[in-house]
Parts: sequence; structure tokens; C-alpha cells
Amino acid sequence: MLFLKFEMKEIQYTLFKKAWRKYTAVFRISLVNIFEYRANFLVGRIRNLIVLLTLYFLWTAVLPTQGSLFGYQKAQILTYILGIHLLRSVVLTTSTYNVAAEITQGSKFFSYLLRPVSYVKYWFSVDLANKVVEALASLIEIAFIVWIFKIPLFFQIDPLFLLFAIISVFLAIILNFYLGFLVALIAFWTPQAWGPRFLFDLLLSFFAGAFFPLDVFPKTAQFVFNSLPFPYLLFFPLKIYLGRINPIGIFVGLVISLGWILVTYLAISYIWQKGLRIYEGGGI
Amino acid sequence: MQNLFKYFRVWLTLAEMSFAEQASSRLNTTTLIAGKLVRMGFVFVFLLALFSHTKSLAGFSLTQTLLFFMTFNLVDILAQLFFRGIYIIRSLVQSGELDLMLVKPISPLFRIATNTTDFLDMFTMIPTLVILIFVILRLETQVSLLSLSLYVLLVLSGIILALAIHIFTAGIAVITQEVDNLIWIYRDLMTMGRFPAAIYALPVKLVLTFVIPIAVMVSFPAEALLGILAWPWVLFSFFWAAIFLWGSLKFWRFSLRYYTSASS
Repeated sequence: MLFLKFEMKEIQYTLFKKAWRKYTAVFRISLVNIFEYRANFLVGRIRNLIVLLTLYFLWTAVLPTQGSLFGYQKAQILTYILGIHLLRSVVLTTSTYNVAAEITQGSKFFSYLLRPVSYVKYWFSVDLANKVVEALASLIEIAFIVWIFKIPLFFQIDPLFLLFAIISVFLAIILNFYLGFLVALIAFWTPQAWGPRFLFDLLLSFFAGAFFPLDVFPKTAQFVFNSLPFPYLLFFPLKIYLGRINPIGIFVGLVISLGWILVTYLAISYIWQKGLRIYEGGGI
Repeated sequence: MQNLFKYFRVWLTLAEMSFAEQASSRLNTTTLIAGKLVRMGFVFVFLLALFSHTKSLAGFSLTQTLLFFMTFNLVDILAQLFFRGIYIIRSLVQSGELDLMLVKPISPLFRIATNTTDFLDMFTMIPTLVILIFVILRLETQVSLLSLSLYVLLVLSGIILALAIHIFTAGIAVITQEVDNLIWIYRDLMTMGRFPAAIYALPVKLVLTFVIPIAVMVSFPAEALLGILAWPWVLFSFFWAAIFLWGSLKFWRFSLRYYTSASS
């Protein structure tokens, strides 16, 4: 009995090692792929910097030298803007829009179905590679902007707030991936997946608090927003980092995040099975 | 005159084809239009939220800030509507399809620019115009006929500047064949024009006035309507638009020398 248990553990370990090797290979290839198109990468960075500069100038134009805006001190609101820039790279960077394109085109998607890889894990590995590069680049951009404009920042020193902020970012990464993947699966039913994705990304950015903190809205609106998955992608982690939430709020937020992760995971499993049944492999 | 009619007929035919293409994918079209309107609505909500806590943005009231935002939309939508074809120049160069445009008895630049007419922007144009008129009527300052005429002329000059920037981008794409996202840098810079240029630091303002003149395209017309744009700047706008257009056409001809028709 003890021997059988040991054997099982050995098999599980071998399977894990094989899977780890597969997906780290995908991760490495994705990294190489990003740096293969250096000009495009550089242009992407310039674009990000432009967006960041626009937001910085806009907020500094309305920020009072003394006092607060929306209940945020100057350092807090500027940290929020720069934090959003970083979290966009860490959380919102995704390649899941390629999933819809692959399903529509047929042949490439079909080839994945024949390989011993999980299509979801494959794209998650690609996403992680993109996130690592984007996050590092964002940190450099933020450091540059802070240095040039001498921006006062808010540093959280309470280790508990920091810990929960990091946990919420991890959950946000998973949630955003599942949401993106779920929307991409629309391609099983229609080749016109680009428009719905465009609309979805816009709604996601707004309700995630990418433009401004969501607590500027009335309480009722905030209650509705908080029941959606989007605020847990950007707004919630930053709210924890800035220490603008109590322990109960943190607990409730984490539970809702986990709930949405579960819901989207189950939805993906269900829709994936349904989609595969109607998938005709056009273009193979 | 006959030439102008010929060009109009070509544009009409290409526009009809674009419309048919967009109408054939209804879900995409509907959601893209909804997305564009929602995006505009979000900036409105953002500005309303901002002004619920502050009285002015760089000295401008909410209505005046909305005038800047709607002028940005007007210029941007018109440029999108008519010059969208430029966005595909890189693929034309790489596939060698540019050959087919160069041999036609029509300006290749015109043919490329009008290859796609983005009718989705036609739908966003209607609410933009309605809101713009509403904002102008609600302005705190009296709008004179002169300032209104200047506004229209400066918007037109802004569109000429947008055309020139698109031509420059097309020329760079012909020479480098690599810069995929270059036009998107312009698009992002253009979004800086959503807000009054006065909010930016002086070096940024200088770039936005002289190098990539987004401020001239968007902020100047709004400032003229508000009666705060000095006459030398009005003249500068027209002069700069003419210089940019002349320079871009020269650059386009220069770039064609580098076209090797590689994949044809």
C-alpha cells in the first residue's frame, strides 16, 4: 500500500515535470518572439508613454497644491495613476484576442487539438511572457516619469496591506485571463469576434478603474460596480495598496474575486465543450 | 473640373465597396459603433466626475473643456473617415500590391487613402455634431460670426494637417517597410488633443504645436471660437498646414524612389 502511494506520487511528479517543461518552453519562445519584433516593441512603449504623460498632465492640472481631490491626497492620486499604468501591464496585458483569430482561421487551432498541450495553459504561458516584459518596461517608464517630474509617491509600509495587494494582483491576473479567454470563445459561433472584443475591452477598462478611482461615483453605483468582476482587476488591488479599505472589505473583495474566477472557469469549461462540438475546422 | 468629378466617382465606388464590406459583418459593425460611442461617453463621464470636484481645468470651465473634446472628435472622425486607407500601406508595400495602385491613371496616394472609408465613423459623426452644437450654444461667452467662421476654417486646416501626417506615415512605411505601429503613435498623440493644450508642460506644448501639431489641429479651433486665440497664431495655423502638406507630398515622392516592388 505504501509502495503504491509512493508510485503514484512518482507518476504525479513526472507528469508535473513534463508539463512544467512544456509550458516553460512556450514561455521562452514567446519571450524570443517579443524581442524579434523590436521596432514594434519600441513603438508600443512610446505609445504607452504618451498615454501615461497625458494622464499625468491631466491630473496635475486639476490637483490642488494643498488638500485632496476625490478624497485622495496628491501623492495618493499620482500613485494611483502610475499604479494603474503598472497594473495594466501586469494584469490587462493579454494575448487572448489571438484565440478568437485562431479559432476563426481553423487550421492552426486544429493543430493544437492534436497536440499533447492544454490550449488554455498554452495561452496562459504566452500571456505570462508578455506580462513579464510589459511589467519591466512599465517600471522603467514609471521610474523615468517620476525622475523627470519629481512626482511625490505614496509608499505602503504596512506588510499586511502589501501582502493582500500582491494576492489580489495574482487573482486579478487569473481573472483577466479567464475573462479574455471566455470572450474569445465567441469565435466558435461567429467569425465576427473583433467588434465584441473591442466593446468588451472598453467596458473592462472603465469599470476596472483605469481612468479614475471608482469611489468618485455614488454609493449605489459603486455597489453595482463591485458586484462585477472588473473592479477586482485594477481598482481593488490599488485600493488595498493605498490602504483605503478595511480588513472586512479586503476579505469580501478577495472572496468575490475568487467567486468570479470560479464562475469564469466553469463557463469556459462548459462553452469550450459546446464550442468543440460545433467546430467545423473550416480552412483546414 | 472633369478631373475632380473623376476622383469623386472613384471615391464613391470605393466608399460603396467599404460600406458593403462593413454591412456584411453586422455584429462587428454594431459592436464597433457601440464601442466608439461608449468610449466617447466614458470621457464625458470622466470629465463630469472631474468637474464635480474642481471648478476648472487649466482655467477652462466644463463647457469649454467639452468644446475642446468635441473638436478633437470632429477632426479625428473626419480624418478617420477619409484617410483610413493609409493604415494598410505597410501590407500593400510588403505584398507588392502597391504596384497595382502606382500604374492606375489616378493619384496613388488618393487611391490608397480612399481604399477604405470608415463608415462606422459616419455613425459617430451624427452625435458628435449634435453635442458640439449643443456645447457651442451653452458656452458662457458670446460666439460671434467671425469666431465661428475661424473655427470652421481652422478645423479644415486641422484636417489638412491630419492628411499631411498620414502622408508622412505612408512615406515612412514605403521606406522602412517595418514600422507597423507608427500611425498608432499619431493616434495616441492625437488623444492628447482631447483636453486643452494648456494642461501640458511647455516642452510638450512646443512639440504638439510645431513637430506633430495636434494642438494646432484641435486646440486652436476651439480657442478661436472662445475668442482667445491671437491673430498671429491663426495665420500660423494656415501657414503650418500649407507647409506640412507641401512637405508631406515632397516626402511621398521621395519615398517612392525606395519602393522596390519586392513581393510582386
